[in-house]
Amino acid sequence: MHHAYIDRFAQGHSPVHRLDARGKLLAVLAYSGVLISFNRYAVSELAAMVVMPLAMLWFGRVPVGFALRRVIILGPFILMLAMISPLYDTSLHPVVLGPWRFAIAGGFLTAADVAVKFALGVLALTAMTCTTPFALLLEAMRKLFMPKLLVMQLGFLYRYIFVLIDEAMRIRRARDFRGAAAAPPGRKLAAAGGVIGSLFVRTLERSERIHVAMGARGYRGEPHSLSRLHFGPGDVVFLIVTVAYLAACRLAYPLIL
Amino acid sequence: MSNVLEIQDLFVRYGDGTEALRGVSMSVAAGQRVALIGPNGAGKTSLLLAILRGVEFAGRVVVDGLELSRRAADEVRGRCGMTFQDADDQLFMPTLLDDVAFGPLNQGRTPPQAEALARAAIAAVGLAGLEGRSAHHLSGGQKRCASLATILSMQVKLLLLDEPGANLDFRSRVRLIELLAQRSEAVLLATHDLDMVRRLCPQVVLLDGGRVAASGPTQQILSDSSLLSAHGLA
Amino acid sequence: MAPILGMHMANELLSVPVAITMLALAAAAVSWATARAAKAADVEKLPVMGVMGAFVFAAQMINFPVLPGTSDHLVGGVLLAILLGPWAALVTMAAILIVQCLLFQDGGLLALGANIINMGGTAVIGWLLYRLILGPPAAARAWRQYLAAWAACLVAVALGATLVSLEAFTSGVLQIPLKDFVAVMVGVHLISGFAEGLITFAVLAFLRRVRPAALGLPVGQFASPGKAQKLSRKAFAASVLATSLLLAAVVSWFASTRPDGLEWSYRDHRYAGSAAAIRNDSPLVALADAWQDKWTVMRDYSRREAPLGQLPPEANKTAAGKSSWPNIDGWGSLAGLLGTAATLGVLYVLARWARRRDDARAAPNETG
Repeated sequence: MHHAYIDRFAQGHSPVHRLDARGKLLAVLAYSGVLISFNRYAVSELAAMVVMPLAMLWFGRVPVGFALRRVIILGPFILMLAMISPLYDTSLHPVVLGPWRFAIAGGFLTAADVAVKFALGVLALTAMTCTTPFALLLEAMRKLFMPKLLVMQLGFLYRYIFVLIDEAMRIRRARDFRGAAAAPPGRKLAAAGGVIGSLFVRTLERSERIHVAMGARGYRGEPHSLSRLHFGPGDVVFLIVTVAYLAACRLAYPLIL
Repeated sequence: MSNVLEIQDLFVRYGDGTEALRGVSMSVAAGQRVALIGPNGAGKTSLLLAILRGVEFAGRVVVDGLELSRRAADEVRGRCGMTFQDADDQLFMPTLLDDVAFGPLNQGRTPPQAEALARAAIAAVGLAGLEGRSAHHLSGGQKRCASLATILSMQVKLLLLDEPGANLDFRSRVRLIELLAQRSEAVLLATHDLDMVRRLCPQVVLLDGGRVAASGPTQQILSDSSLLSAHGLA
Repeated sequence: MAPILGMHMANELLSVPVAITMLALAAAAVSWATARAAKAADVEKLPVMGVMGAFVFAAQMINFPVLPGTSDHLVGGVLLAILLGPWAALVTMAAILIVQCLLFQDGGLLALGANIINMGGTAVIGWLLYRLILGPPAAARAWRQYLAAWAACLVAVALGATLVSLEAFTSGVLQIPLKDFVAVMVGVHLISGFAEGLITFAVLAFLRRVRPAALGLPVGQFASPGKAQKLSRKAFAASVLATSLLLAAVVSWFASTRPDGLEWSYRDHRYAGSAAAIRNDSPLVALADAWQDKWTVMRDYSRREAPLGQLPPEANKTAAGKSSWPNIDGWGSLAGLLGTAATLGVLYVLARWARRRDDARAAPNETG
């Protein structure tokens, strides 16, 4: 089974791809922080925040449609929550836009606010993950704040997700071919338990073998890694522009938390 | 020419009581390629693992003049490299470059040195350009070459290869054989693939039931059909 | 790949202080758990916990039936804790959440702290309960193991749902009162907690038969090691009953906070009349509104700000700065919108140009 799509964009080439992963990570963190610092009734104030993720997507040659689809797929839970707001917050708020004035219930504003923030957040995150190979993201996290051991585990997780998913599919197919579809629910439950249990056992054995292979190449408990990130003048410019941009977006409006 | 590998009276017994090896003695000269053949369960993999001290053993194992003991295990491991039957078990890093650099980094090289060694090894096995890829993007044949690269970058004197040709299509097998034929390291190759043995290895050790049943020049051993059928190989 | 449904917090439901607090808590918890796990096993073997994380991902693709016609899938925290020990499980869950965020954009970066506590921390608590109910593992009969799994998963999930509500409430983004939030979240997740208990037991029963060593049980401990542990009907029925009772309790607790029927429908009606978007300036409606504001006992589930008979302060709806709404200059925000649109236009053109230039450079023989 081909799982290439995760890395499909991340392995590409573009000005954004060339940016240091640390810079991109910090930028997205800062962006997310500023995003949620807007109060719950902010909608039009968020307009300028659209610029950064879209710019990253465009210059990063990541199709915006792809990013929007991520928003739609991930959205339902939070949108459901957001839609409950209008039931509770019925205080009226005036909205003024140029020559137009109207009043809207606070709950609807909040719902819109949360929806917009969510979409922007996902767009920004997608822009980063689709322009940065996972291994470089790991290196960025390692260099910034993450313990080496956790980084190594993230590497293993990433490496073996698809191997294990394929294995799970194979085990499940084997059971299906033994007539699991027609079985009563109790039998089906046991079968599912068996598939997961078998997968666990195989994973345990595999991790044993991996451990042996690591030892065979000299591993003794201390993770070592390559250093591939290079912070250059372009990255400095990127960070400065980002900070200025975020400050402008945030401070153009009075700070209400 | 000194021997890069000397094994004397090797005994390996597993926790559940099975005796995988019962008194095996053999040697591999520097730069020599020796094939280890035998039926399933003969003890081929156990032999390879013992050299790395991956299993408990009794007997004497000397790698490149260094006797393998508990203390010296790490140093000995630095002198030989092993590839395993399942390539997915030893390509465990997020990218190919990380995998091939893993060995050198553990040997104490600096990151730039390790990266250079890794790139050279990746190019040597014909996978240049794929350094940034993760192993799950590679084909079976590419993974085999990648596994080989992971130990070539360690610049070891002895390569221990466990069934390197298993599950490979014809073209990938041929490529692998060509690759190995060009290398100057000593090789101990455990395999069922007698064709690969004929093309690559001038010497053969036939293992059966944990003991050496025969050893000598490949031509001689592999043309002895009664010997082969007696040990389940033909 | 579809995101794994669970109770992932999104950044946007959190406020900055809550997010930061949870991140700090999670960082502390994970460091501590790493240290504890390191003591329990070989330090060398720790890295391969990541592979176990991949196992959870793969396991989540296996669907199993819950009730006739429905199916669910494993989330895995409690099962992981039982199989790997609580500390290793916490670290693994953290790794899983991070990867979900980075690879699938599921859950925000800033919400990672909250998610790790909500789903990893609660797994540890579930594990404690599991061990408590189970007693000595080797002696545990099937019904006991099932009930232990069921209770552990239910509690873990309910606790997680409560934490989500608490975090959202203290963040103050969604204006849903805590009680309602908790009731809805817990109510919904009780069912998935029940399902989780089912599949957890199924996996444990399988392992017990096929690979007891994985559970830390000695091989051959049982009279008939080949015999499957069957889920006892009585235990299953008991759990269904208990879950239903809990669900009923939650629902009734929730219902008790609802205003009475008349007021509820009035509020709805006024609501629909006054502001889907446009305010109705008809004097009759304004009069009715004012009357309602004077006499409503409970507005927005909070205490009345003004005594009955007087208008609450918010009634001054022309909002000259009295309300909590920041009075933003209308023209300013319009200008902001237009400026943004213009900026986007410029950037888009630039990006297209940059792309064309890059493509041309990459394929020089194609251009004249």
